[in-house]
Amino acid sequence: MSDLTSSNTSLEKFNYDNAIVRNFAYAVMVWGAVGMLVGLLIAAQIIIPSLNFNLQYSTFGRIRPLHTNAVIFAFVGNAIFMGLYYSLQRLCKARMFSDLLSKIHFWGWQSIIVLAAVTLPLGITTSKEYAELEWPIDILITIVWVVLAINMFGTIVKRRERHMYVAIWFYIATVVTVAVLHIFNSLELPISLTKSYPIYAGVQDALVQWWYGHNAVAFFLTTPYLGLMYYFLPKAAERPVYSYRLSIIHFWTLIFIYIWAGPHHLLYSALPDWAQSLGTVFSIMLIAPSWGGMINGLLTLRGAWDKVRDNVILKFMVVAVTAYGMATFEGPMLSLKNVNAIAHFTDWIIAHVHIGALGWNGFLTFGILYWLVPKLFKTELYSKKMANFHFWIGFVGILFYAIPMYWSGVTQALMWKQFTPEGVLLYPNFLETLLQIKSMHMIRITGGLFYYAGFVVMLVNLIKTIKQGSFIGEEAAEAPALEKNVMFEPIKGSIMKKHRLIERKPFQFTVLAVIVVLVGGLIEVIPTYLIKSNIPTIASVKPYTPLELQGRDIYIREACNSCHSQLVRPFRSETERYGEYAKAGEYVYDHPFLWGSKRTGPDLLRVGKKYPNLWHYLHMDDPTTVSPGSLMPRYSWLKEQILDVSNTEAKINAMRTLGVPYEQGYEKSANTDLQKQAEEIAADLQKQGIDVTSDREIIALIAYLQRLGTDIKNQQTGK
Amino acid sequence: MFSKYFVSVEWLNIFAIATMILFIITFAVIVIWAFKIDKKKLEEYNNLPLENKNSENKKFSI
Repeated sequence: MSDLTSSNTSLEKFNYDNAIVRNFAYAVMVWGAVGMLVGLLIAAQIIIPSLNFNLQYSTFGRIRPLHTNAVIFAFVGNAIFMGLYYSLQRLCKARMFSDLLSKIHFWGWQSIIVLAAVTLPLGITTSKEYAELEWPIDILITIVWVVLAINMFGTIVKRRERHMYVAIWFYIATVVTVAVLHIFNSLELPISLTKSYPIYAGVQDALVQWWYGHNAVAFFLTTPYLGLMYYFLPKAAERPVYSYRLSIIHFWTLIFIYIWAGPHHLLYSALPDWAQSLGTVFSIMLIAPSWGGMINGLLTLRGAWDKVRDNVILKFMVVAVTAYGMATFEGPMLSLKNVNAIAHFTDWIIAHVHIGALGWNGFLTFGILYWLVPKLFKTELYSKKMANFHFWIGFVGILFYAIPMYWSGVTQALMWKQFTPEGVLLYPNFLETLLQIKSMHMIRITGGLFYYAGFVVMLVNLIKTIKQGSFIGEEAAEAPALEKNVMFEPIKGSIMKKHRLIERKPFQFTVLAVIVVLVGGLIEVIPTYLIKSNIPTIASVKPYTPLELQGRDIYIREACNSCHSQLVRPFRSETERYGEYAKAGEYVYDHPFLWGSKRTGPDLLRVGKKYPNLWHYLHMDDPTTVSPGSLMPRYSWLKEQILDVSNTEAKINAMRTLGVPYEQGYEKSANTDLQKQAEEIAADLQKQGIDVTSDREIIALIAYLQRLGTDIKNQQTGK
Repeated sequence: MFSKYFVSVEWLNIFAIATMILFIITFAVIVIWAFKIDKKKLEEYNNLPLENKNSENKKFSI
């Protein structure tokens, strides 16, 4: 808070804090390089599994969330903060509320990223997509987010510009909604510093997770970037946004509708039909505000398209906004049940996500960096040619990434569903479908390499720019003070006049935005609580044995759910391949749910007793021995590592607290039961010539896999 | 399939209808509000990002 007031009472002199903007820009460059490199590695591992170098810490399941967390929360997250800290100060004509809070925010966020980079390869994960980090890090995220909120609202309150520009609206919606999403999705019961179970189970957990997952895309990857678009696109084009009216309608309708659309991630699942339909309807409606934003962005360049030819920043921004339009058209289409039936669990979704990530988030970030870095360092960009090269190779990279993934997705879906004239599956072996798309995965890597090469060229270009310039950490500015405190100014006049005043009043504005967001959120979440009391109990569904529970936690640690679903949809092609379709009552003891969202491998819901213990042992040790050509990595460390049973008691206690009906006092004898079951499996393996002892992790995992889906089979056979 | 579990919760259906009505009302209010804003004011708001142009040394832009 280092504002300097001049002797002239009407004009105040102050400095913008550019150091915090620069720091976040550096973080964007560093974490972007790391996150995308890990992305390339996991893309390569899908076709060459040995690229994990037989190390558990670099196996697909463990580093896939590292990639997603690094690009979403590190690369995109830091880019949001970079743009927010730059634009907010200028739109408010004020320095950030507190330099100390800015620094705490910066270092706090980087600490979270480092903790994620350490814990995820160690297998410390909740398994919930885009929310994998364990509870101590969740708490740290909450604290850092509150610091950001205080700093942001503090700046808005002490601003010298009465009207809050629309970009600030998007920032406010982001900060409050992400807080709500993060808190509700992270409600979990810790059993140790590195392990917790979510308070929700099965269907309920799935609904909360995808309410979070969908809205994390909405309020972390979309709304803050729209705020950045509304600030930096007019800056780069040197002209105001096409229609401010449209931006107002865009904002309110977008935040109202987005929160409702989450159920489209759970079509053909345990969600009630009315909620699925509501999610689909709102997803289709979402095209209108999304395209309102896209049209507003593109029409900002009306009469100035010649600039796009010469200005590489505008090229990046135009492609970004177009990619936003494409992704937000495709998203609603994917939420149509007939399209979703084909696309879900396939590479189609990977293509869709990357059009948004590489095109919208990536290219807008690059455009902003090319605009911002020369400004911060008072110099010109080192090389326009390099920037143009980056644009074209990045653009080609996106095409080489997305097109084969679309192709692959449709191929997968058609092969999964194809029947012979005799009515049996044409491709009963899942591996056939995987091998068919191998070449498309190779082309995808080429696209990724192109995109990454462009990123590296940008880094060189920006480093050279930084070296040739001189950084101005304190940028002088002046603006007249506002006459009185705008925060608590009384509201008078008609409803319309009042609304105009709300735009000037951060508190009232925030309350209104929260109400708009929460209406949808609550109506989506309330049924999740109703579900618990409406799911009929299936008598044969019992809690996991202690060994199975330990095995399940190894399944979570290795993130098997990254590649294997546990949700058989009610399609003949799925029931023929996997067995009886999934029942909501089967998941009542699943903390967390493990439905997965992608089938790189087959569904495992009914895998129990399908193969002998020996098959699982050999498959984990080296999948190609029982499944020639398999693209699954080896998990040979599971037969070496000793199962940690010291926490069994705590796990049983925690599960009972969450409603799993273990008998009182069972925790004391749980390890005895665990040992007994482990010895039975080990003896079975030893009989068949396998040299293994009952205390190994692989025994627990086999126990869990052999349990999957058997409760329903027991019900059918009357056991 | 699973939806049969919800047949007994009849009042849940009201959510779908209430939601649509709520959205239509909200949308109508926003549109009316947006079109009631004074044109001059809108222009002023729209130019806010460009106001700092002088403080950002223009010759360094690419």
